[in-house]
Amino acid sequence: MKNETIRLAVKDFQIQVKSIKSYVITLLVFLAVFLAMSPKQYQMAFSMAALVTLYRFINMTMYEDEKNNTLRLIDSLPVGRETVVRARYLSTGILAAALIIVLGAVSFIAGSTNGGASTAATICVFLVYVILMAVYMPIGFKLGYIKAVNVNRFIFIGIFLLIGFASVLMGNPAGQQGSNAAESLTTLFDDTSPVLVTAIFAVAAFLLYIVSMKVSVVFYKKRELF
Amino acid sequence: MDVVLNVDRLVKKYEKFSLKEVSFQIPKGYIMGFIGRNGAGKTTVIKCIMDLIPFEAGSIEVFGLDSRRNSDEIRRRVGYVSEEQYFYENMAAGWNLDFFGSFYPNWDRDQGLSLMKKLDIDPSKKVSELSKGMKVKLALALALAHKPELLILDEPTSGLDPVIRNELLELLLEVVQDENCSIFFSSHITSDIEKIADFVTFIEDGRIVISDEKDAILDKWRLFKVENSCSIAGLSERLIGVKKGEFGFSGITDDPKSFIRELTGNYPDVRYKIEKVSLDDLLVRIAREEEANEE
Repeated sequence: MKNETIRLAVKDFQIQVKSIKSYVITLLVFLAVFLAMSPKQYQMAFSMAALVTLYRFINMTMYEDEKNNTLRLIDSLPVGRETVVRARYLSTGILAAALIIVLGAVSFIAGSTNGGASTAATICVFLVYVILMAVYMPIGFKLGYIKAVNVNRFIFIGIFLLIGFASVLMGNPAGQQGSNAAESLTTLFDDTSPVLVTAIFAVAAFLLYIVSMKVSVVFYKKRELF
Repeated sequence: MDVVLNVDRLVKKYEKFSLKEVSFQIPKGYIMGFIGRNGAGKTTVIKCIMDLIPFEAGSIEVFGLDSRRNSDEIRRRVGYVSEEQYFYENMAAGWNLDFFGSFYPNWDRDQGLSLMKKLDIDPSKKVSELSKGMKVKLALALALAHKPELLILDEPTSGLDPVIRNELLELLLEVVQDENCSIFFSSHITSDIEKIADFVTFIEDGRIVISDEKDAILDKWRLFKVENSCSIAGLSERLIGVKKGEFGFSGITDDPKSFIRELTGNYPDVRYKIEKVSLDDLLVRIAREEEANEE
């Protein structure tokens, strides 16, 4: 990996250092809200709070570049546009990996009575959200922050509906009301190894992330910044 | 003479504007002023040189390298200051300098910091707290601290007060003492160019109208003020940017001898004045001529 890629990825974190406090507050607020809405569905609450953090990180990096027009200065440096895209995927990937570790640990502690199934379910739901981000990022590179946020609202609504539909399809043997993706996954793990399912989700998310990066490179190379 | 920048028949088309076969060269170790009105095409030419926008025809060679095929190599050796300064506003000036500078292989952090000190920029201040002039100075420190062989400045003095403008011009003169560095400096403030440039290129409506040594231009071009007793027809065609007044007409030419011959041949008793031109006169007259031609 090129040094330039790492420097640009580190920059994505550096420009947000002063926002750490606000990140933590937002995370806790969202966690509290989701837990209050359905206390038993803590896996969803953890995943949603992690999603909010990841989504905010991507948006903040795009926003800082657009607000300051720094993509223009970066474009005049001896750095290819491909490197700029790779760096953004690297920083987002690092944050996603960190969130998975934290999410796994917290979920494991919270659901220790349920073995590894609930932890795996939480991670799998978050991986679905990573896939969501993989859909969002090329739009950001093609349209820029402001337009991408607007387009994304519709895409998110569509994908959330899809996730809900998928969870219904996956079945709810207990016949409970209010079943969600994480609960359905936990049920699925009764028949399948949680590690295997998590690995499949992880590979799918990783592959889609790579495809997303390639698409972003194509979009960003064609984007007119000047 | 070594040439650091060779622009050859450059064509760039927009819907309502185009560069029309723009050609000029910058010899190594010299300052070239790039003069033109707002919207004449200066920034477009510079963006093509930096490979920031594509162009339809022609070629650009920087250090003998094709600008499109070797843009990274060229950018490593060029210091570029754009019309507007783009930094991370919430970060410190010093951080911005370190971050952007670190992409250049010849980056000299100590030189960057000493330039900041020399230019009175506080490295710990947020960029958002810097004035426009200070941001230009920061951009210049960034452009200079990686020891560029060619400095490309797009209207760096525009909107700055005369004191800061003068400081920047003095700094540029210092830079060019090192004969390894050439400067391409666009501006519509002709007095700045007149102060520091060795060569001058005029662009008007996407077309290069003059490109030569500054002294040769100032020696060659003359302003004629002719009294009303003679007809403008015929004579005015020999002048550029003709201005008609109550008492006569005026215009400039780069061939004063032949104009005098024709004028006195046709009107032996005519009264006229010849004056030296400034770059400002040239810009105004050339712009006037273009407008007249468009009408």
